[in-house]
Amino acid sequence: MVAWMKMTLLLVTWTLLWSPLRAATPAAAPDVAALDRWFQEQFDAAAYPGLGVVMVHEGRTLYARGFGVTSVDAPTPLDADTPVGIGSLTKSLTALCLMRLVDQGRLDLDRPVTDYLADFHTADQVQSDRITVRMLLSNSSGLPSMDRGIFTVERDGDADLRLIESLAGNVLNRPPGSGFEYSNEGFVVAGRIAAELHGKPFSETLHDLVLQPLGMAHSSADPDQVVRLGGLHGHYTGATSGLPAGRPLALGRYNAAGSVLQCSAADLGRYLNALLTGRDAAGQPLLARELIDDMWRDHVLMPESERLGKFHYGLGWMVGEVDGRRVAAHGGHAITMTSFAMLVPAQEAGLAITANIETLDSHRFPDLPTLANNGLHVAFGEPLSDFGKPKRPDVSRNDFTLPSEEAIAYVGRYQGSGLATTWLEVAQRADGELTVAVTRDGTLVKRGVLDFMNPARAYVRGIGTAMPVFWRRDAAGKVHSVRYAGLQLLREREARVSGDETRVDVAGFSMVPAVGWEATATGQNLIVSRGSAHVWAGALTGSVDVAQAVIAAGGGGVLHEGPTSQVTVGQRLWQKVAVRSTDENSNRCSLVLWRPLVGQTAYWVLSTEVDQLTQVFQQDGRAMLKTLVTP
Amino acid sequence: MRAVFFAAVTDLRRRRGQTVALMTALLLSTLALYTAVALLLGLNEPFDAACRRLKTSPLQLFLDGDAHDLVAMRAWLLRHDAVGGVTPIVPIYRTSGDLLHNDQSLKRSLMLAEWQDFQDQDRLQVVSRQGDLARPGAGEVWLPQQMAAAHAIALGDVVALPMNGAPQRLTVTGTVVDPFFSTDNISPTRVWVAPGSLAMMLPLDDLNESFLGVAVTSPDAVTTVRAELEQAFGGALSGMVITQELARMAHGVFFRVMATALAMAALLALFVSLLIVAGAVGSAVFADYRQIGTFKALGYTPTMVTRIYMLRFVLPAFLALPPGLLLGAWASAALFDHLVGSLGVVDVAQPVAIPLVTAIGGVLLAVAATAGWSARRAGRVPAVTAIRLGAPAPRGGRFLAAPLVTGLPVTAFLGARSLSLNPVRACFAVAGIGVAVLVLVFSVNISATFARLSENRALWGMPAADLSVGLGGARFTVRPEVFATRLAADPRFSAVLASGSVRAEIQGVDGISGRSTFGRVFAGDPQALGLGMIEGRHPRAADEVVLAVNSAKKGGYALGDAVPLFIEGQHVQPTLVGIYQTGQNFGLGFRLDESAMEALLPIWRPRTFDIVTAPGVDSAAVKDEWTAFYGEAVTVSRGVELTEELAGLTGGIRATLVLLSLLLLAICAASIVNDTLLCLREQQQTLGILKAAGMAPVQLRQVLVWRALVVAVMGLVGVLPAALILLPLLLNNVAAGIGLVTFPLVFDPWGTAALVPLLLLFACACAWLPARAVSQLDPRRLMIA
Repeated sequence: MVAWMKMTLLLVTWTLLWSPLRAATPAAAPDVAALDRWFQEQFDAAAYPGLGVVMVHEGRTLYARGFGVTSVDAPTPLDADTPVGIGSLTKSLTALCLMRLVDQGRLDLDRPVTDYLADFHTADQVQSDRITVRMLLSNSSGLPSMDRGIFTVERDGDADLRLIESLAGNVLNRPPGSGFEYSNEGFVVAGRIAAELHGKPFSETLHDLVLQPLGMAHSSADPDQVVRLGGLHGHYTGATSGLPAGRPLALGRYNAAGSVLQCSAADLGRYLNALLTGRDAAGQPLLARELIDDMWRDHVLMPESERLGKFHYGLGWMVGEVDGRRVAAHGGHAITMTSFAMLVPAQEAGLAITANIETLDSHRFPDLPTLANNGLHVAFGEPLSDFGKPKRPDVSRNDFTLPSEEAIAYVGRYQGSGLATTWLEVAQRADGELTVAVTRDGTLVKRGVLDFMNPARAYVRGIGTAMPVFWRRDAAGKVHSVRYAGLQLLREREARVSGDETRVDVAGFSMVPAVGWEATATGQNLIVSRGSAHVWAGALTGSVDVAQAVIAAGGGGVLHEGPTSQVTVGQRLWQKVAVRSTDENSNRCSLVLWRPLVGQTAYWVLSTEVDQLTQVFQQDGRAMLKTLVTP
Repeated sequence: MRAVFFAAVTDLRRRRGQTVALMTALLLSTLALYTAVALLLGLNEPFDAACRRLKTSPLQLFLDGDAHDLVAMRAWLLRHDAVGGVTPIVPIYRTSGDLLHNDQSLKRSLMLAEWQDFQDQDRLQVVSRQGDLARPGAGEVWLPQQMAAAHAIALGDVVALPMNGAPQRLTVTGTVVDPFFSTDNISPTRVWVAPGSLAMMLPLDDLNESFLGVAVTSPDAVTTVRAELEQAFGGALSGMVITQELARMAHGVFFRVMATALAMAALLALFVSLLIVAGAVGSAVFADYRQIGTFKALGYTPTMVTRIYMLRFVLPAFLALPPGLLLGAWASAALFDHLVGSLGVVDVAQPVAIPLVTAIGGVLLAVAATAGWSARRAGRVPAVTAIRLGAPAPRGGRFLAAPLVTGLPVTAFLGARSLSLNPVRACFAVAGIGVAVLVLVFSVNISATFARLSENRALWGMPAADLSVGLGGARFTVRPEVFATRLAADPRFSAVLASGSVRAEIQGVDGISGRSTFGRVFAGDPQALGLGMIEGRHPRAADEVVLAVNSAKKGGYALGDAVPLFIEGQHVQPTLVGIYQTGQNFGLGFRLDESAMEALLPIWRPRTFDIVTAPGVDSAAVKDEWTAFYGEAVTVSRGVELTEELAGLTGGIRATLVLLSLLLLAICAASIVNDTLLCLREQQQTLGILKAAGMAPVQLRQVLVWRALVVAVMGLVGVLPAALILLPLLLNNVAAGIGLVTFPLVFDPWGTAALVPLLLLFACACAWLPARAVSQLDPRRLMIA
């Protein structure tokens, strides 16, 4: 009897606590026309190249529309079915995927991760053994936020496994369950659990458990499928408009569970409807109500946000009170594309926005959270709010003016380290102002005006978020280098390779030999040599065959292969592996880079005596590789 | 001469107990002297010796090959007049996380370098290796010996290196001496892998860095070459630069402390031994008074009589020397292993000849001189009086302290009074125990200082905070102004100091690895968290600066001087208003007020908050609360965590101090035993009378124990205050080189107070055993004699 009373009390308390979220408050029908007018005004006043907007209410998609163009270079209209990278909004879909497994009785959120992934551990294994699946989904596992999943451009299906293995080299930032720590890696681990239980790679698991049942036909976590669906490349931010990204986001398989999925606005509407109704596209139950409620329950307090206010993190969702009503929301930033979704369960309404550009300057333009929240207010005839807007003036604005005679010291080209050639070019306009253009792998990724705070620091101002740059000036006033987005760029210096006039060109492969190296082009092969070291570049028919490439480059049989990694050379993504090989006369090793061509594979092979490989690559190989041009 | 010899030997046999006690003291003195000299000689620039032996480059550059054309740089260096040689360009890679060993994370980051068979420069000394490997093979790594020893990494173990992708696992197949990297004070630690293997294991983007070793024609040229190199290659170098001076400083801190402590211990040990000899000679002359008179009557000259006593005490020295030397050699070898070996400098040729000569000569000369000087009285003994009275004529002295001790139990009174019968030897005994007090006070308080670093952070240059909070996570942050307001309104905190770090070039002062030096900007009064000044005051205005003591010293700046700073791309010349000390960055640095920083960079805000909690507030609970509330937006550390991080260092220091204390206590024990035996001899007639008068043997033993107790009390009273005054002075002198002109000594009142009863018990125990000889006294025979 007592137990029954306790249970009743618990249920009553639960109902009271959640009444704002769950109870369907009778409300006037949303004014879609007003919503459309308002969004058109907002779009016209802002600098978004394109927006996708969807609003759902009481299980129906009321409004789905695209604004603007897919690319400022090739202006085709962006519509509600155009797939856009949604970034971290993917986390909520990953969470839904796992909740479906919970619903099927195949997963227990409160069991340790190691029950599902036996090899999962960090350097402090005693701590990491305490991480539960729930902690992964609520960003409270303590796993460090390294964002490896975002920048690892792998196409292999088990890329997530390798990422998880790499966690063994890190310690937790805080004890599991002790506090909030945003972690893409945590969701990659969660995604892998789903994949293991479902028996397919994560992209297929997500498709089977979420995308397909919800009828999200214009969404995918599979790069090839995204290309087929016409997934956008997005835009970087320039001085006055967006700068089209040079290549698609879907270059690699990524580790999609954490942050990368391309979705159309209309599909996001289907997704929000399913969450609000608990039913899939066919009207069949998708997920038990209490499990959806569990996703939207306060799990861990998030660090406060001046713009967004106080939120908790649920399971893949941020939950909190906005303008007097409880909401579940999440945003995403997919480098050149952004998204935001907001659900107001009490109104049985939700609104999602996708944008094909990185985050704009929130002091000048309304950000997606503001647009989503106010869009709902407009639809329901409620007053607008400042949710998502900066609450104080831009602190980076200042009254420092760089003396005009000093400005010239900054003008020039600065080259970033590494093979993925990043350049920052500073020029002086006729009015004396300094402008900046940043290119990465041949793509313009930032353009703006330099606003100096002092002679050592400035902001690049344009339509995007102001980016700080730090100049290294010596005491005599000479500017030697600049740090931009974590990368040090040095003033252009004399190259280790000869001028372009010595470029060797064979069968579509061309390269400038380093000083002291001689070209010996034979047939369809490009070979440059110095002493016993030589570089071979060419194409072989068929898919990748490292051993064949080594033999083609004059080496022996492959004895041992090192780990495979990726490297961006110029605008191309290559795979890299080093191998030790033997022939009858010598003990040599080779550094092999390859990338697929149509029906062929392109290779670049540096072959040296076994002890010389790193030295030769550092001193000459890298400089020559930077000049490589392939078909 | 033969007569003198036989007389001395006969005397030795007659007083076996005393001889054994004296030999023990001399043995320990020899041991300490040999060990101290051996270590002082051995520790004399062991780092430089290792560098010379291995031809280690005094200027080592670890540079980004993307940022610098290293081929051109090497060519430039080879052309430089002051450069004696440059190594080939060696590929390196610096890891970004902690090393893993046995699935445990070790707080060490590594620098992987490809093995090179250098012949003329930067050689490596192989300490151990699997089989007859000439160098690490594929998938293998060779570690510095110090690192392997400190972290219990054995040959055959697998270590994992954090890398992008997955941890790289390497098998340890060798250990080496790599002088610059044979200490935990330089990070990262360089380890060696097979040539060509970095290209095998790493992504291409990680193959940027290289090492260049630069030999110079004179030590002074290092600074010049580095400065000119920076000038020629576009200002500050992109990477890390380590000079021999810097590496020596990193090692030398511990060498200096250890060498000083050992030297002090050795001198004190010898001093105690000499006190024993002087006391024993005086006692023997007193006891042999009639015999001396007889010798003189037989025609012995005063010199011959003096020689008897010199020989009498030099002979035990001869006997004590061989075992003392052997033990010294063993102890010094063990200490070398502990001190030098732990720093990775192995197979150092331990000095033998000079310690041997010093120990033998020092002990013999000191004993002979002391015995000769003390035995002069024997030469002056008048033969007739001596034969007739059997003792010197009573002196007119009196027991000055009698009124003070008349209230004591009779055994205590007699013990105290017995001291007054031979005040010189009493002084020697007091001095002996005083030495032990001195060393023990040093040990207790130095141990406490290192064990409780966190309680005395301010003098080390860190705010005396219970909690330190850094703002700024990967995605979320808290506005400094908001956080500061909350802290100010929170009654749980009694003081809060906000600050931020900044870099600047101070004209005339090079930083540790380049021109720029780290400084700190305070928003508030640093005094609130105990940060004091040696001279002057904290900066309060935009045009004021304070310098760390070594920055002021190197730059030649005094209060009131304008200090040219190049900071945030701007030249400023604030006035020096204060000088502070810090144990960080070898005593280099500067501090500014926030107004100065706001003038240089208007958006600057402090992002570190050091907090003192109010009494009764649990800092661990506050940490947990903030972790839950702010999540990744803050990094919270507690003051006590510093002590945990330095446990290895403090453990080593404590072990060495315990060793020194035990040595001194052993000598002190010998001194008390000897003094008790001498007292028995000197005063056997008195004791015989007391026994005849009815005193039980136990009471007579108590008399002797009380005597030792009074000696101990006098030693404590006389030396304890002096030790407490001397200790900080000595440490100030030793640590001044690293910027701690006022050493942050933590006084341990309980530990020091505990020494008093412990030493008294120790004295009782040492006296109780030899005092059992009173039971053999025969009052009848003594009274007849």
